[in-house]
Amino acid sequence: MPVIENVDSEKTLLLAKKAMNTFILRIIHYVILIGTYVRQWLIHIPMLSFSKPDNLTLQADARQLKKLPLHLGMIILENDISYSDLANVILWSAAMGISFISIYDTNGIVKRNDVRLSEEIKKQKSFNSDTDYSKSDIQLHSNLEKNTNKSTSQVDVYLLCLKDGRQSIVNMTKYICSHVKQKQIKSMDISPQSVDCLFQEETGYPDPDMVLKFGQVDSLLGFMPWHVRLTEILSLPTHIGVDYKTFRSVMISFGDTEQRFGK
Amino acid sequence: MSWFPEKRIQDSWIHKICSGILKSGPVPRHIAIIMDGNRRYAKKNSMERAEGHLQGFNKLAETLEWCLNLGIVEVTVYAFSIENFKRSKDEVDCLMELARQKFARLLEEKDMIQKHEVCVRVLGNISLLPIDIQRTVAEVVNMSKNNTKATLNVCFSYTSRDEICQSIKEIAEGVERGEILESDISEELIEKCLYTNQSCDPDLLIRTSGEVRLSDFLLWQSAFSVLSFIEVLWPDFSIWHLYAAVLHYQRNHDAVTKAKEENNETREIIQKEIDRDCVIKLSQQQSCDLCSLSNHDNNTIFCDHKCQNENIHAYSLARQKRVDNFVNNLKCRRDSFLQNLLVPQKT
Repeated sequence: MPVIENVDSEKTLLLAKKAMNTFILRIIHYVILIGTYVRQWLIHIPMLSFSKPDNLTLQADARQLKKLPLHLGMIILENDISYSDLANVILWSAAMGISFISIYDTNGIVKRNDVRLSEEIKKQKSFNSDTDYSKSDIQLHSNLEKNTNKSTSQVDVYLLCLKDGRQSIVNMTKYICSHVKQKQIKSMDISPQSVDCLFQEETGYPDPDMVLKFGQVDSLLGFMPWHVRLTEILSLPTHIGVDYKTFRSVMISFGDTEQRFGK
Repeated sequence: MSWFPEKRIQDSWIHKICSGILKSGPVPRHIAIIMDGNRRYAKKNSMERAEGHLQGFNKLAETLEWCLNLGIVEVTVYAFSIENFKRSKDEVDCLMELARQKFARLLEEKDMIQKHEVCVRVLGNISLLPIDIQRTVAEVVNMSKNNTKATLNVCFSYTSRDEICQSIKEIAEGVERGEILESDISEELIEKCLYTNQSCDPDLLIRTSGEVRLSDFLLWQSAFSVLSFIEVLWPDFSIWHLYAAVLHYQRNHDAVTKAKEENNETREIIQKEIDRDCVIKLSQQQSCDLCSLSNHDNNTIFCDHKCQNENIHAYSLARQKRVDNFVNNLKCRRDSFLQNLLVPQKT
């Protein structure tokens, strides 16, 4: 029967078209993938001339920046974590004068390996004992509780995971509700300003000025939703083997950004 | 210009091919757009600021059509931030006038909205707006509320922190009135109190003009969205930028989906722990004296265990009922706020 044949051939045509489209899309994605790898590789070539920056270079570079983040967030979107590279970035940031650092990964791998990270920091410090890297007092925190006795030269490093993200807003809501119930806070007074003050009082965790994503995924993956309101989001393809030159280049691009605050 | 441009250039063959190819992979269901760069566009092309904003609006109408053709059924746009009230009076007035016109235009184009079955929602702190705009907004929302084919969320007089605080406030009042318990507070409950409670989280967030921050837009909802920061100024945004953004989404799709699933699992685990703790607390309060009297042999302990599981199940059902009830009441209050705006004032 010709009618049915017609329908059949239309169906096959449609299927063929679909398969073709899937095939083309796959090729496009492969091409993009190869493109990103080539670009990454090209960027990594100058790394051969790798040299460790001394404290003076770091401070001089920091002075040249138009602005420096007070709080630098790092989101690790990779499965393998290199603690020595993280330690390096922490020490560079500390020497530049950044006083708060957050390190986030969804599963909290860094958080669980805080001992290892602090050992790496110690090790890197001793490698560089001829410079004054070692002077900065780096404190690791595995939760958002407020630390009371903070000295001026101290650098606070927060290790965070998925449970510190949206959940921190849930906890704040619980805190506010219990105070409203006890008539210590009026529900009328709940505003972005007052809640932000409470966040500051309760955790002492300032909003990150800049977040550096390491890895190929372009998403915050649950990083501190309340606090990323005005955070500049920058990325690097990987944290493994990250050298000072690359780090400095992202700090420069942060320094060049301008914020208008809605105006 | 209209919200529904008469099909200017009938979908050209090249666009058809491209969208066919893109659709064979995962396409975002919901995208969020920060339409940044209207003023810089006006400056660059030496035109009035107002003209820049108008061009930006026209681009929005065009983009919505592209999205529909691609199968993106929900679009959320950042039209006006609460922070924008800080701009010069002239500019705020001009933006309000534009909004007035465009919302009115939407009402005129009722037929098209109903034909395309677009549901328009306005998210934000509406009460900060001039009263006549509030009324128009209420009319637009009311007119299209039963449409389900596509959704356009216009964030107007919106900031994300304000939205979160409104939710916290509602929850705090709910706890105060005794509608819900402090232990009922969870990610899920907060989500249900946000203005976006009827939408799924955006899969893709696009910001134009090369800025790389969220600027108080959907902070909670975009926690697991793919971010696409595009260099182009909003009025110059083209269908190719949209295609590129969708490709970018596809490249990140697997990683983001996995993270979302992990988050949902964590969420469930936390909720189960809370339910268990609540049941234990309750049973400790109620039957403390009974417990101490009875002899604990293996059988009763087994029974206890079984009873406890049943209790937890019963408790979690009761909690869900409480929360649903509370959320329903909140929805009714929000709906009646809009309904009241519809009633013509007798003064």
